[in-house]
Amino acid sequence: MFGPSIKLNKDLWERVKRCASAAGYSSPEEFVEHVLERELAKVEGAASDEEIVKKLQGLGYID
Amino acid sequence: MIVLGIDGMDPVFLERHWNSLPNLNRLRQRGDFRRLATTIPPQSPVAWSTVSTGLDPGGHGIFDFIHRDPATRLPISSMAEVTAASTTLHIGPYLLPLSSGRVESLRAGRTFWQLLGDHGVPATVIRMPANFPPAECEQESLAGMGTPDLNGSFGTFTFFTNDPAERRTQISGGRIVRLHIESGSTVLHIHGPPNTLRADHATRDIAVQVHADPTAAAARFDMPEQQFVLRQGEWSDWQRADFRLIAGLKSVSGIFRIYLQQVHPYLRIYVSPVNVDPNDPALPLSTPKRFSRTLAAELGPFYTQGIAEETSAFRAGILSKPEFLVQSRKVLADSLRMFRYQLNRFSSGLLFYYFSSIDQNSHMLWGKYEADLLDIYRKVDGAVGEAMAQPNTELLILSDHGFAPFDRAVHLNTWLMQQGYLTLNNPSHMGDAEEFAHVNWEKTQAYALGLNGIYLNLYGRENGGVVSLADKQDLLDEISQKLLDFRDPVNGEHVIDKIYFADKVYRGRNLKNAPDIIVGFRRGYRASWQTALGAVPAAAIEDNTQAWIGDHCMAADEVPGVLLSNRKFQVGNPEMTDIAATILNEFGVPGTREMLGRMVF
Amino acid sequence: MDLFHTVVNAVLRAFVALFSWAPPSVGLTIISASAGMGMLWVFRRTSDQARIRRVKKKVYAHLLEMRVYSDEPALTWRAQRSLLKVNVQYLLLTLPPCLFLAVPVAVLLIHVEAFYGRAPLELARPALVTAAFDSGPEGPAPELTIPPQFDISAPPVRVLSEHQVSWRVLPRAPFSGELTFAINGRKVTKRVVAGRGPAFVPGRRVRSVWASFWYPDEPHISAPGIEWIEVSYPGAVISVFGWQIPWLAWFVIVSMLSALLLKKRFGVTL
Repeated sequence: MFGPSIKLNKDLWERVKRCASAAGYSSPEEFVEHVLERELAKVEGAASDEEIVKKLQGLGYID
Repeated sequence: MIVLGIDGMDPVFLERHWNSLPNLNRLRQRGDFRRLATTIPPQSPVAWSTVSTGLDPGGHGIFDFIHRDPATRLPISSMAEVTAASTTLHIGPYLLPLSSGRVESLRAGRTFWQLLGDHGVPATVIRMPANFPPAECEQESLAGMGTPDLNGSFGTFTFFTNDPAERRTQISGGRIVRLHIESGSTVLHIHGPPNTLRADHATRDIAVQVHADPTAAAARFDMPEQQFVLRQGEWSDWQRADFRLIAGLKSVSGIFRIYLQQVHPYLRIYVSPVNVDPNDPALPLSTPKRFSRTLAAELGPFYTQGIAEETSAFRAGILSKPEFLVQSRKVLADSLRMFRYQLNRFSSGLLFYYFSSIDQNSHMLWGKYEADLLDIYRKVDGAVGEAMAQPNTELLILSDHGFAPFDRAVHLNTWLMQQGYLTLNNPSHMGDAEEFAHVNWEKTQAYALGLNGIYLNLYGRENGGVVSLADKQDLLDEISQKLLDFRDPVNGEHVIDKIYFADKVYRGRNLKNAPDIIVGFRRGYRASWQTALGAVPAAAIEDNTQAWIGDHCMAADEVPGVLLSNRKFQVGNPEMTDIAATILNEFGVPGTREMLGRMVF
Repeated sequence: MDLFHTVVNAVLRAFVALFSWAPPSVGLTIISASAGMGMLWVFRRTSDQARIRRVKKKVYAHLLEMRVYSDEPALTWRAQRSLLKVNVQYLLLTLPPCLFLAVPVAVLLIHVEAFYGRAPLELARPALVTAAFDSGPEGPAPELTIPPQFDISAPPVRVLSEHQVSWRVLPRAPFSGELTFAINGRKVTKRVVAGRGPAFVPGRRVRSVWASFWYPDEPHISAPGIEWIEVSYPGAVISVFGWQIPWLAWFVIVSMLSALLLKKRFGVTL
């Protein structure tokens, strides 16, 4: 309840509320948290930049 | 019907050497020979995906070796995606997966062999590029280009030495490890897969002891289960090793070869990328799953890595040209052995077989070492002869593109910067830093990545994109006009032949990963090494100084492929999309509605 | 020791030769079945059969008790404790025969390994011959004389940290005979077999008389300074009904099975 809060514009908040209830989330907050978690996992879970390049280098076409 | 896919076989090279290539020449005289229009852009994963599906890149969704993630603008492989397990359990150092990770092919569309299978026509498809993991079906198929090594890369070799002159540690496609030698003995730590079962993803190693004779040019290698001796200049057979993930419970099997380059005065040892063991594959290598095991039982271990020719070590100066030729001939010998096996057991239906050697050798030999390249062409010609000897069999031979010299390397991002479309945080930051390290995205309208692509920094698509949809076409037209006017300062020649817009040139609408502009370089020019991964060096264009001297990532018209058959073609200008249609038609199997091609016979 | 090993070896060779017409699994099956019977006989002669019978009856009694009184926790608990106790008694009773069996079975297994556990060197495939010394080897590697059926395909590699020398040999034609090493002015030989199996394939040859218990296929080396000589043979597997299994697994299955099937006939309680 006393955690950091984030401002959303009204339009977006209305859409979030609609989607959250349509998708069966108990609250819009839960929906927002879930979406953020998913996106963060994508970015954090991605291998480090250097690792990505190393994996591609064996193709031969890049340096 | 037998279809041979010969990557990079060039029509002009053939025409220059018909007399040295008796089987291909005979095929041309008795049957037919045409140039085969290649895909835009003329890159192998793009073109072979079109062969597989009969769709253009807009249909199958593969536009380059390298795509970018619009959220991060980082390069990613276009061919396959590996997702780690999403739910895991943490116990001590271990991270146990509760839901399994996945390896997914990024190619859309149904392949011709899946369609044949739907209609009960048996097909064997060996090493079709971009078929990793292999498309699900009952047919026999073995994965091709795009199949990673056990590190998960497209091939990472290791070079071990105590030579003080060698100071590098990381090089493109490999790593260099310093050896400490005591009374002639040392240990090679060969990296296996990153241990995804451990929270720190520590790499699993195996240790190979090396004992060099004090004076003779030979050494003994002690592996956990066997020993062998190599003389200087010799390659080992395939060595198998188990990389333990959890002691006693889970291990991953890999195969590799060792090359003892030098013993005295300094030990120099090359270890190949650790290939997935076909006898116990840790990754999906084949359909049915047991097929790769059957092949290994019949033929012994074989290269499973998608691109096995060691161009990286040659480029890095670690293997000399003769050494590279020996290695690439080993890859070809391996392939020919499997080809003969498949030819012997072929009785009906379809056999597709892919050869990588001409492509990989052309990259390193084109225009400069004609005799060496002709030798590779001759060996492939021999395989063609063996296929021609099959009675009552229709034979179709195709290549995905031809070849051209790669003399001048174009830094597209630098050019974009010079034209005001790309901005750095500080102009002094120009250099080889990859992945757009110093790019100011708020002031950047376009960026280049991969071998033929320019992307707009589009609002709503790119993360923090600045170009509005309304301005998109005007901006594309403006950049294109300037690209077509771009001249090489050294000789005043045009650098770029043709410009293609993804939404105009492709009929398929699967354009999620398509570059906005596909750059058709003039013969002799290619996107620079640095461009491919998003670097912004100082000059817009410079000489290509690498040992990689031939290429094909240019305008499609500059590098057509070839089409040969023991039958006459009815179509004057066959295209890559025609192959799937022609194969299906031969067996009376209808294609899908999205397929584009025509029957060539 | 050498004499004893030679006799065992000669008996086994004669036996295997007798069945050379059949696949190797036949000879091994007969050896394993005979071993099973032999073990039964020794077991009967060296164990207290009467007490074993009594203890086994107690085991059954306690098992029955647990089943009948399964709804009475106190009784079940007591039965379980008693069961544990009689099980320990049973194990103690089987200990003496097992001790009597250990040495002869070990001798048999070590000898049989040379017939079914190793395959001759494959033709045209390089193999290593390694000699281990007490020290050094200082100076050049000892001289190895090979029969004309072999090539030496690489210079000998001296491994100073392990006092070893390895030669890479390439068998060109089937052969069964000797390699000759000139070590400190004395000749030392090592048997080598190349070609198709199955065959008697002797493993390591050692100098120590004690070690020759584990490496009994050839007489121990009498020359000083050298510890052992070994040829790196490929492992062999036995094909049984199309299954490829290690010979030892088949030996265990057949000997156990024959013992279980014949225990009544031999009047033995196991």
